[in-house]
Amino acid sequence: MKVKVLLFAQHCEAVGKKEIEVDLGKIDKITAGELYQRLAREYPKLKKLAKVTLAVVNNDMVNARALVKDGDEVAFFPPMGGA
Amino acid sequence: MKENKQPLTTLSQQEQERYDRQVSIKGFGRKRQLKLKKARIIVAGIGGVGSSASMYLAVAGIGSLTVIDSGEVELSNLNRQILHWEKNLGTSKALSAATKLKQLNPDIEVTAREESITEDSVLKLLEGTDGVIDCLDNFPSRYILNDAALKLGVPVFHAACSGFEVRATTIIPGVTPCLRCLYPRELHQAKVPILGSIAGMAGNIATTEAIKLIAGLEPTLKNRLLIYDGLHLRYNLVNISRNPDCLFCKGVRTNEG
Repeated sequence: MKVKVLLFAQHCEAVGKKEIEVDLGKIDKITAGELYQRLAREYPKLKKLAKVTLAVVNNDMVNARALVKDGDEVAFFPPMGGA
Repeated sequence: MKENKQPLTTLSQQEQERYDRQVSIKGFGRKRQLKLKKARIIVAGIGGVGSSASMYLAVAGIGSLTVIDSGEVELSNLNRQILHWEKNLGTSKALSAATKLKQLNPDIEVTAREESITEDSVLKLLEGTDGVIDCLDNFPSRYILNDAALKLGVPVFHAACSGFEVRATTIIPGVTPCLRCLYPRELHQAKVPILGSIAGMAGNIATTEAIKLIAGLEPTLKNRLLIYDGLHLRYNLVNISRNPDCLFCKGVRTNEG
């Protein structure tokens, strides 16, 4: 399965890209949390953001247990409190 | 600050002329302008976001505006906090803002509160208000504001920014997720980098939301989080839901009819 991942704020900085296409090969389902862990192995700077990371799947904010399917659009970003 | 002596049931000749260009927007009209005139809005935090938010609330004719900030103007504020100028360095942000807001629109009432949002002060500060624009610069204060607004049933127009990005949502107690549902954990940052124009956008989005809610115009950012990325020109509206286990808004009932 393939998914598109959008990255915002510190997550965008950690990866160095605003979005990435992720090819998960023969895997046909994965949770948002597991997807984040896989990305963090490839982009280690994501690890320190893990505890505050918010996830969105197809424009709905979800928890880490939410399932991601082939063709889904996922977004990861941190809380924002500055002004 | 000088008090608004205008009657709240009508628009004076001067007010009709002042607000003509917004009253003439299709679907807006004098009735909605009168709703703005009767409204009492608080701007919590007069920094980069609060500067633009309060300026546009003032010129829109929000009848009573209270600005809250315990800080003093510093040189490093001036890239974004456009209500404060070099001559105001070292002076109270709340007073600096209120003085200029009153000059922007002498027909409204402006009150300066030179104090912090604390657990002890917040309920008294929010009592009787129709809404609060959350322009605070740190999570602990934002959570305190959130919790008090939930208790009092006060809408919160949440706006934040970092770098080139804006986040905004409209929190209606008992109807939408609260700030703690949205952000159960805070991100610690010693210094948040911010472009002034982006802070201005965040404030303007929150103010537009407040004006629409008071005037009775839909749709708003209720149950949605706006993410605007000005660097990459991305705009996302994310659907957000209440956390049924949120200890802070669980059991909160709506004031909405």
